[in-house]
Parts: sequence; structure tokens; C-alpha cells
Amino acid sequence: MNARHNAVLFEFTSGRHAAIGLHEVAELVMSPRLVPVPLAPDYCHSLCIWQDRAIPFVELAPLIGQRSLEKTRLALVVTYFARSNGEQRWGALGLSTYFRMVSVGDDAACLLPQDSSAWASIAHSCFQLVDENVPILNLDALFEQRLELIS
Amino acid sequence: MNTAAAGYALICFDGLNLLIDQHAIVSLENMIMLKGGDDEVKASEVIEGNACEVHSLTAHLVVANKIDARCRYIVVLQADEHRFGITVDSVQSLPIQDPILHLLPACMSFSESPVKAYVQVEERVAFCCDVGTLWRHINSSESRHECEA
Repeated sequence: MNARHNAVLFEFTSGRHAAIGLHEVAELVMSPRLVPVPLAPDYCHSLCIWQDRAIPFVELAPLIGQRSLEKTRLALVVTYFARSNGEQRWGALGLSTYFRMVSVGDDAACLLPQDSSAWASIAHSCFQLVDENVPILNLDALFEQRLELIS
Repeated sequence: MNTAAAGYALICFDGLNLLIDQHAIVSLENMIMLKGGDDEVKASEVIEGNACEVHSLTAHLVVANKIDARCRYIVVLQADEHRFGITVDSVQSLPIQDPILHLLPACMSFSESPVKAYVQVEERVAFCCDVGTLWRHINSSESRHECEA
């Protein structure tokens, strides 16, 4: 790990990436155990059993109107502090392939992708990586509210 | 949420585990009561004394078009003045003492859902289901999608 790495970049559907802070990563889980939750929204359809906890499992693709993963092989367990009460919480993100660590500076800041209005609700900011605008997720916003799906 | 889930029954259908308040259970009937009729038979025709409609639900709590003949039992439930039955594979008392109820994460809950919390029961996750809200859900348009039991 490079000392300058400060973010984790992951692919959530074919060719599309998002990022979170390196300090927000807890664990990468292979073949996560998922329990479907009745009446939960498509992007957040299951609980992921991790270290005897049941944590929400989120897929970004359906949230922005894209097809979800056909088979979830990887779950990135993340942690954050709930804005409402400061409690530490955990959640899991569905990945289509392994993540990688990157260094992100202020000089790479750019506008959010224009393909979905959902990004404005779930991203802190965005940076340019080659020719892709990569949103940096706001985990509190992603896990602490029920979001409307973009059709 | 640290409320003990005493007085709950654990029912299972279509791979879904639901915790139901035992006080809401009127009776447990054998599915054989429904056999011999057409696929969409109403239990009111065959369960004397508990006249009510019977539904089969999917794991997503969608009302199936047909009664699931693979189920073994019918649980007859009372929700306020409404009585209804659902087909189930199994019914048992909660096999653990003083389980901890956890609220569903905010991203997957909504006010009209009959499921608001869950319990980890040994290797399984069971969802606590409010029978009154379940009855309203079953009778709402959202619960009636095209599907096969």
C-alpha cells in the first residue's frame, strides 16, 4: 500500500466505478452470505451476514438505473458514523471485481456523472480518472435513508 | 432495539422465516383441508369455524396466483376484526430464549411494510411481521403481481 493512497476504487457494474475513503473499508468478503429482505428496494434487497452481524447490502447499479450484478461474488464491507447520532455502522457494497487503492487530490475534482440524478443524493464529490468521472460515495446518505430508484 | 421477542411463533414458507405474535394465531390447519378443490379454492369453503380466505405468499410477500400445494399447513391469523390464512411449510415456537430484535436498516424499511425488524435465530434470519399490516399488505394492489406459486 502506497502511503499516499487515500481512496478505494471499485467497479460496481461493467466499466463503471465509484470510490470511498480508504479509512471506510473494513473487509472484502468473497461469496458473501446474503439473506433477501421482503419488500426491500431492488438496490438494497438483502442483509449480508458478516461477523455474526446482519448488515445492509447495497448494489449501486439498480440505484442509477442499470442492471444489477448477475451473481454477487464480492462484498466490500464498509464502515461509517451515522450522522444522526454518531454511532459506528457497517454496510456492504456489491462489487463485480476486486477493488484497487488510488491517490486522489483536489486537483482531480470534477462534476458528478450526468447519467443519474441519484448521484447527487449519494455522493460527496467526484474526481476524474482518465476519461471517467468517479463519484466518491457518502455512506451515511447511502445506508441511512431509503432512496428512490431511478427508472 | 433490545425488546425480547417472547411469545412469537416462527413460520416458514418459500424459504422465508417470519416471526408472528403467537396471540395472532387462531389455529393451525392441515393443508389436506384444501386438497381436492380447484387451485384457487378459498378456505372459507372448507375450514369450518374459521371461515376465511387463504393465501400463499412468496418470499417477497407477494400474493401468489395459486395456492402453493407444496405447503403442509395453513396458519389462520387474526388481525383486528379480519381473519385470514396463509400456507406455510412449518410452524414452531421460537427456539431461543430472549432473542434480540434488530430494526431493519433505514435503507430497506418503509412505513407500510409489515416487516420492521429481524432476529438472528441460530443460522437463520427471521423477520418480525405485524399481522395487521400484513393483512393490509395482502389486500393492497402492491401485493398482487403476476407470479406462480
